[in-house]
Amino acid sequence: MPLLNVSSVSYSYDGVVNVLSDVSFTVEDGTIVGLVGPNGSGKSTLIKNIFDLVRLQSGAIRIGGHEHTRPGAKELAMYLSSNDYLPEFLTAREYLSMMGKLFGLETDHEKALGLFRTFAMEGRYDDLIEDYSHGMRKKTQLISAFVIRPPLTVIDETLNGVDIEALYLAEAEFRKVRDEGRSILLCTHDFAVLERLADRTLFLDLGSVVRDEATRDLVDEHGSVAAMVFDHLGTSQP
Amino acid sequence: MTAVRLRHSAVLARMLLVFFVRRVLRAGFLKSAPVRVFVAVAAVLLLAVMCTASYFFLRPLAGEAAVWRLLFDTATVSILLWVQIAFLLVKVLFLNAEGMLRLSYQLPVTNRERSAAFLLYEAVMTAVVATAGLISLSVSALILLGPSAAGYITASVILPVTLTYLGLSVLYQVLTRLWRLVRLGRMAGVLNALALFAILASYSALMTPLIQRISGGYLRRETEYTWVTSVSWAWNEHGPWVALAGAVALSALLVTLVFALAPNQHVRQARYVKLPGSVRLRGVLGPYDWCLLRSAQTVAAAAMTVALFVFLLPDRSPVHPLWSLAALSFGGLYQFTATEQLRALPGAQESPWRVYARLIKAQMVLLAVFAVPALVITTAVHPGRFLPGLVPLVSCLGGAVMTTCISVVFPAEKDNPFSVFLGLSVVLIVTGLAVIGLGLLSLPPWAVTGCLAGAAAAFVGYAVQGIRTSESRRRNAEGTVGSEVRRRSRAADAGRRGGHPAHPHVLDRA
Repeated sequence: MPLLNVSSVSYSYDGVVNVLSDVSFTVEDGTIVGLVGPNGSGKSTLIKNIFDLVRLQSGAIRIGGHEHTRPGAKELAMYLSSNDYLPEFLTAREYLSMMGKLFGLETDHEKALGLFRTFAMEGRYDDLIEDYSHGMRKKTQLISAFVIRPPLTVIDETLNGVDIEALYLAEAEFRKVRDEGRSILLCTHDFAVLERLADRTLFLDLGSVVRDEATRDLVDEHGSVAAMVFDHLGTSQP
Repeated sequence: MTAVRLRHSAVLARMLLVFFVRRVLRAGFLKSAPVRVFVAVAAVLLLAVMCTASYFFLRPLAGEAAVWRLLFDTATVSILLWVQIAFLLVKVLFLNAEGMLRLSYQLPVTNRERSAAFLLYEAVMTAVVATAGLISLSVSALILLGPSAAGYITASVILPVTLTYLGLSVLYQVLTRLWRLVRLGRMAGVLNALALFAILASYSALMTPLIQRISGGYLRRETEYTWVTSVSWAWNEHGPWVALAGAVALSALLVTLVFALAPNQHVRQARYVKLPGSVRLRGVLGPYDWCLLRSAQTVAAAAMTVALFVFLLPDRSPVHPLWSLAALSFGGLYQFTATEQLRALPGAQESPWRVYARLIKAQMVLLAVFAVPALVITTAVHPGRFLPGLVPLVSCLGGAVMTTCISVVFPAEKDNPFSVFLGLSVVLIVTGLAVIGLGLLSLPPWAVTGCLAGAAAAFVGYAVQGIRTSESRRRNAEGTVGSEVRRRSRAADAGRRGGHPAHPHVLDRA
């Protein structure tokens, strides 16, 4: 049974234009799946559907066998959004404690402090998130996922705001997470990251899955993920 | 049906409490500790004045049990109206709390658990309004009657308030599901508010006959049964324990229904509505105007205004239909925070007075859009009500000025309903104390009007100063002075770079 199973999901905001059209894919245990696509291709809407932030209009989504709206599904997946909806009025320590409670875990603050140090945020763990820079907030999101380590982490362009140093460290952590048998659905415009990390790449365009193949195969066929995307966009333009 | 993990709702509710304490109680006007102390003292003072007045009014009646019964039964009739008003107000406030809902976007909670956390706050806010309505009677009764007043308070205040609130909550959830069934789910919030308003209007029409029946029973020395005073009646007819057990069982059933019926509510995607034909007015209206005219809060306020106007228009009621326009000022309560991004634009720096004028202009435009047709319709239906209509119009203009001030002084960050609620409460407390004080001085009407106008002008001046301070803080013009800036004496963290900031340690590892 796949950890995440998205089956025939379609979605429209206005009832006229389908932002998602019959999207199906799976994420297996211990894999990193890349999600790419142009702006407006439906990536964020797909992720919002997975986390029940918009009402599922058709199809089915199951996380660990649970319907995606059920508490059982919520316990298995973590969402790192592109707009950080972090509660700015909490400190990072308070935020991670809260996340721990919600996932039914005792937060390992020593580990969190260590990650803060590693990600060049030493001494800021007890500061209000309000006082963090944009990059620091993104790093806090990532650290929360590395501390909680849920079976599935869905990352919606969170890596876009972090510096190269943090990106390097995050990639190393992602590999560790995968080696532990956990999974990541990674939505990013940084194709080089996907080539280094993703076992599979899912290419979404105009709400439909255009390609869903092993990243290595895509690179072998097109030379790079970027070339694959450009080839498709080049041929699909009138 | 999705189960609700109450522990998760409690964690979320706690997060909202921290938001309330850190971002509402310490924001804007309340940032200063002396001001917070002043507000607390003013609230206690107003409470003391109300309780003292009530005590002296009720003291001569202390020995007559029938009078107390009459008082509490009539109080039940009016408190139910209070609960309905509070419920409607709180629902409308939470209807617009999308920004707060988004705070829980990343949290592993179901939509129903989110709803449960918000329901808790709605209940607390309704309880605050209900308590404010009947605290003086309850305290006086406790002082005059001692512990025996507890029975009256429980049977006539606490239980009816609880049951009414829960009953309204169940009705709200049922209505929401009903709108979804008929594919009107997107408008469910506004439609529910209108339905609640219809119930409120119907109940207010029933109040006088109900009070007459209760008073008639008192004069005939009989116990008059009315559906409103059912709990009190059961308390007297079947004994306190039976009534209490029945009410608790009914409450438990209603709570279960509230959670069971709570729909799986999702965060609304649209915060602004593009009005048809509005693009043609781009030369006349500016971004501040559009921010108000297109906001979801204004849509809710406009719906309430139309409903109230339709309710007041046909009857020759003492209330002029144009008073319905007062509901339009509701959107102004959020406007200062909603327009913050406009002031943050490069080159958008303006004087605080100009910002205030832009905020007011938007409200004037909104008022004009509704006032002109409302005045025409009212005059067509009741020709004699043209001139008297000027009083509510001028008052609504004053209301717009006041709500703009409240939006500056109590900024509703993330559309949170707490700031708005707190702002309205503080203004009511201060106004209440001012009116009582002026009443004690027995000043002539022109002097009272002058004092109130002066107080309003001072409030406007304070709000403009608030805009100046807010802008100054945003631009960090205050430098490192003051509590706004947290002091950090240490240097920026160098991580593991070993004192070579230009040499990223990612390269060390490579």
